[in-house]
Amino acid sequence: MKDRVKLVIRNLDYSLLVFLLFILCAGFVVLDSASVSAATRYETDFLVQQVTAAIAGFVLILALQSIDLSRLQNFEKPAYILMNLMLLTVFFFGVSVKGAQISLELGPFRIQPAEPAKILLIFCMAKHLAAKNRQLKTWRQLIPSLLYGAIPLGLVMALPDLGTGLVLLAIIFGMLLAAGGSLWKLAFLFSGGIGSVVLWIYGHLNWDWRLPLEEYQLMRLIVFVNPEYDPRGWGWNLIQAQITVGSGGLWGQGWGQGTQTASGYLPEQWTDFIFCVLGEEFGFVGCFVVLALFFALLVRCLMIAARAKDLFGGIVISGVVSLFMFHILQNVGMVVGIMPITGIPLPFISYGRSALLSGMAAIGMVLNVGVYRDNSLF
Amino acid sequence: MNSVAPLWEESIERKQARRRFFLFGVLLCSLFALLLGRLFWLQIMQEEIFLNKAVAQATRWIPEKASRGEILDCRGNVLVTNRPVYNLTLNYLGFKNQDIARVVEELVQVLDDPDITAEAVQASIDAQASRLYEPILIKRDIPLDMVIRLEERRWQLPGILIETSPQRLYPYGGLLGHVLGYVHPIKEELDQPGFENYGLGDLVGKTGVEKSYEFELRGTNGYREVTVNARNHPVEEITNIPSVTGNSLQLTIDAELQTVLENTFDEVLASVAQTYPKANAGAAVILDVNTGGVLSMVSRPIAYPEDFNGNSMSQEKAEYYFNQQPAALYNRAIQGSYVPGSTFKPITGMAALASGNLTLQTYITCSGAYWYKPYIKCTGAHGSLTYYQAMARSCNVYFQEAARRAGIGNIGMIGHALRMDVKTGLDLPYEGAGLLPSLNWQSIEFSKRTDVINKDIDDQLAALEEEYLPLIAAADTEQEQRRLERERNSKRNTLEARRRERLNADTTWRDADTFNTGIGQGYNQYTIIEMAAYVAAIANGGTYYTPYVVQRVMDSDGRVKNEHVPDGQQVDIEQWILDATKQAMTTAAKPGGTAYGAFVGLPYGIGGGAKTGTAQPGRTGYIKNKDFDGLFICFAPAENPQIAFACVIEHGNSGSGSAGRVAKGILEYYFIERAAAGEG
Repeated sequence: MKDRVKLVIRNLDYSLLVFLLFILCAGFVVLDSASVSAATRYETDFLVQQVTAAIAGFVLILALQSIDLSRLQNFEKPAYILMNLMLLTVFFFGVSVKGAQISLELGPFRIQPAEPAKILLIFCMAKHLAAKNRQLKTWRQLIPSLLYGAIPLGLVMALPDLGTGLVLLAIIFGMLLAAGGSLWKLAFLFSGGIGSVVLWIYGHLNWDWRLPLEEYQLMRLIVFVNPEYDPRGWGWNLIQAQITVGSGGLWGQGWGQGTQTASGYLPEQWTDFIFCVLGEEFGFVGCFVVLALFFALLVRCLMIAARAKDLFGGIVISGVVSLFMFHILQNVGMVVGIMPITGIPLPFISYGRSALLSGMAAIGMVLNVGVYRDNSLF
Repeated sequence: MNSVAPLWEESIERKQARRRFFLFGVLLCSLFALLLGRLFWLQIMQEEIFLNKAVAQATRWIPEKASRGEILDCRGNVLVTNRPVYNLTLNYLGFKNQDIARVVEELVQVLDDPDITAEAVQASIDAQASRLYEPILIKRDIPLDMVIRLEERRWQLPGILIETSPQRLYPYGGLLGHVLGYVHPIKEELDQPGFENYGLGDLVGKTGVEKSYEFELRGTNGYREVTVNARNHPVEEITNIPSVTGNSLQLTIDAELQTVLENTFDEVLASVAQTYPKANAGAAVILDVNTGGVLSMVSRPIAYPEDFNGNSMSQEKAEYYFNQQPAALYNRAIQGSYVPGSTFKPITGMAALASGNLTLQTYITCSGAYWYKPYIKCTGAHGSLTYYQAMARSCNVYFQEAARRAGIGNIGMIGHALRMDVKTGLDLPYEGAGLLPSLNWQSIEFSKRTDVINKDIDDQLAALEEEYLPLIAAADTEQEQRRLERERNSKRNTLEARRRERLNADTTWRDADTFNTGIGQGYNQYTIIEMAAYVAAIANGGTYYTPYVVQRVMDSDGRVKNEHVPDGQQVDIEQWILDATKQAMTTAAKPGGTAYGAFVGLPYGIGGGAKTGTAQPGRTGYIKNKDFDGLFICFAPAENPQIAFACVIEHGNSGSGSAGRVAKGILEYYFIERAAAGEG
């Protein structure tokens, strides 16, 4: 035990922790201003809740260092079953939030199983792919892995939780890429997937094809292409997000000085649209700093991946990096108008305890790979 | 680096895996480059645009309508003021299209008002299609119980607003209606210069001083600029510029005198109408002879400015004001042109005296009809008359001879000296100008007519040519051809003869025209204000004052901003002629004079000068030698005159029997009642 603590202290990647801490602090600063109007409405102190969750997150991170993740690979099957069971439970017993059943109520707690599902998927998928030992060149080799990921993905899509589904899709693709999947075949799947979605929507609009999308999802796609289609309705968030970010300029309006933020032009600006607040109040400089911190964090993750003692560790990290990359692309991208709107939070910055804890757990896994990078012990 | 697990550390797979992590790094770089590039575009390149959008959507202007200035009479009695009214407006902003129909339907149901139907509301919206950002006025001046009903249903009626705005109030009703004028929502003025900062639904003066002093009366609208949040709740007031009430006007009009004039006019009109049922219109003006200030002005039929104050006018009322004959809205004192009849004779007389062909010693004998064609009859056989006697008895023979001796040129000159051929220039809109058949007018008029006649005949000649040319060309024999040519030439000659005949008839001034002009008939036509102004100039000894109705403009605190300075100019007539004519007019107001009736009963020493007129307008609606307008002009007192008066009663039959009775009422009030009250 003592040796293990020593090992953790010696091998822990402190720079990664510092980047995480900076990002969290930046998040607290922005959240403080973003939640001013909402705090009174919901009678909740968003900041205190978030800081508490972050402290719990650090405890979780440290706890995750107690055992070599690589040695838990044998638990892959039960973990896989547990993950799918969780998603099924939500499917049958979930609480409906905004048309999607994504929450489970357990006594006083309301948890969103989609968050731990992401972590479990990374773990299971890593074990599954590591076992293939980079033999993922032919379709015959690829398809079982695709199906392995498709089961939880299908369950999430059935909830329907399109946002989490897209995240899982990004994780699966990223991990296949890291595990040595054929670049051509993955590129084919990627472009083929996007192409067929576009064709399907086009067909729906022009020839009335049946589309398994809710109206709001379709409208989000339509206003993404043309925000002026319904500027005060579906296009509102998209237009307001850009106005809010754009009016920040180089230096921003100053902390707590954002008029768009203060006037509540954006719904739920403390969660999905929190990047707008950052953009308005801290300007391009603020956005640059936060994105640079994310960049540093992710680069650091990749460096740990490159030094992992086995394929499994590297693939786990690739899953985590894919998860964060997709979250950042989707969340910041929707705010600046290069992605359609979906309810995906910005890691460590958007308010939300489940998301914060699962994000920190993911970082914990990365650190774990770094801590147990030597094969000699344990 | 690490030194364990050579199996994985040194495997080819590890190298390949590291290449994939490097690929991840490349993807990571491109992701952040993309996001930062887009942020740079939004926040640095487009900052201005988004900043403006942010400010614009969070800022609301709430206009505050200014109160229109008041209008007072010369003693400070309030003739026009304001009262607050509730207006129902629809604010298009913040609606989604599909909501409008529902809200309108709800509104119609709640109000249950026959005026407010879905179609009517839609019409108001359509009328304002290009300016939907402004509140759309649905109904002006809604009653209080309707306001309460609407407030109770506030949540069912988003976008429906009740605004208070000042509306005109007329404590004296229809008194002075034509002079005050009315206000109405702006329409065609919007395109005119000076009206740039008016919006739809703004009230604007359409007639009377409301129109001519629009920019003084209007005031300056104020506004509040507030920021609102996403739910349109005001957050902060940025600016608050209060509205400034318009300037008030103090008129030269005396409300009390005006009341007497209008009442007298109505009484006389009613009594004349008993004998002459066509008598239902007319006008009168009282001027201050020493300033040109209009003390009173009336026009009948009456116009009530209040009738124009509401939303829309009934068909019946619109007919009354705009279409019927006589249309009530028309201010006959300044817009109507009347044949002056004998009230023109002082001008004929002055022209004759000025020509030198007639002196004050000249006697002219009246034997009942003039001795030159067309032998116009006189009212009697007056015998030998001097200038004074002729004026007193209004002898047609004398003034025809005076006109003959003066010549139309001199009549035109005197008329022009008294500005009978131009608008007086008083500060009311739509003033008309008289028609003085001076030489100048003749040359313009006759050349116009010549052109018309020549064009007519030339057209007929061309048509003739066109008819015969093909016939002649197609003629079978030379004989036939010559016959056709002769036929054409004869027709051509007939047309040329007709041209000479018409030119002779319509474009030459004949002696008879001069005689007719001399007694105020013929082409003569003047406005009542022109006649009053000319009488005033004679009365005050030769200064022509431009008439005016607004004495001073004051700001809302009562500080005088602008005081009218009487605009007097010496008329170009020799003093002795003016004096003699003034004298002659006084004889008409004495026993034996045609105008004496109006002066009977005035205190000793008041007296005055006057001239009656009975005119044959020869217009549609007038039967020749049966229907006459009654006119009357006068000034009083005889010494140091104070007031000049001119009046017409259409179909009044005789001057003394109609307009003269109005004068009598005024003179009695002015010199008996008011003197007794210690004024005047």
